Amino acid sequence: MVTADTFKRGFKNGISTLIDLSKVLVPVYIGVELLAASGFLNTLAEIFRPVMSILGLPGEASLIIILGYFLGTYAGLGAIAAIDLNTVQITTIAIMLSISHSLISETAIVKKLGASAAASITVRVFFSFFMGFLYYRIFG
Amino acid sequence: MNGIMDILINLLSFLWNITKVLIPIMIVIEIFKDAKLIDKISDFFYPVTKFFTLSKISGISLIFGMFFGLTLGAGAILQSVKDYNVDKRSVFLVAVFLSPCHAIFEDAFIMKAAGSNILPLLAARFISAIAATYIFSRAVKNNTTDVVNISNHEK
Repeated sequence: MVTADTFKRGFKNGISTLIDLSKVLVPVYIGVELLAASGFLNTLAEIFRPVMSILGLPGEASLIIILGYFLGTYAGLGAIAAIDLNTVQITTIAIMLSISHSLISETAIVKKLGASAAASITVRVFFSFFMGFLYYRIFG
Repeated sequence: MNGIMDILINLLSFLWNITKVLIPIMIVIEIFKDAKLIDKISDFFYPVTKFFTLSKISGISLIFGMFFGLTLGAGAILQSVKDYNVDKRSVFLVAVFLSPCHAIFEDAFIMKAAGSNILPLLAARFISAIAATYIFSRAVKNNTTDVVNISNHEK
């Protein structure tokens, strides 16, 4: 049954997700700004530029991918907000991160189901890069 | 480098964009749960579970995980394994499908708030999930004797 309580619960879930998200997103955003100011981001960008250019992304985007893969979508979002990107680039990253994120914690869930962690990670990382590449080749 | 004021404004407007989509989507998800819409559309999903040579009951866990996320989906899967003795192969295939494709609406709308296009995002996740599950469903042979109560494996 859909009652007023349904809406209240939805609103509450929205707020609590927002709080969870802010707890990760705000520190990451500030951290990325600091990394940029310190020059570390430039060094990292220089290292990953060749790989990222295959996907039509600037070298700085490697930080977004790394944060998203290990820490999760919210951390990736914080980094997206801190780095200048156009719509195609943001969509490429969004595709890559939504297919493959929080690999440590989510693979633990998959393992708990009794399914293979290796299969899950292989599928996610492979399709993450493949789909990101495909999107860039078609629309970029 | 931006000034501190710019950083704050950028951050707040980013969070506001996310708030605008997050709260409505959470309300819609609760409506879906309370109206039992999942049970109603699970029949519609029968051809899909058949295509992947999955047991019918695992189709519900599939939809559940796809809409509400991996954690809730996993809960539904573990429950259905207990209640209906879903075979291990089906659980594996559902996990393969859900790995790249879960919480699709929540993720898509949050990414849209960050400036992404929504359709290519959904398409990419679906295609990945379908391709991966198809490959594994043909690679892993259907073995009906392989019925395992996974709750025993948790410990």
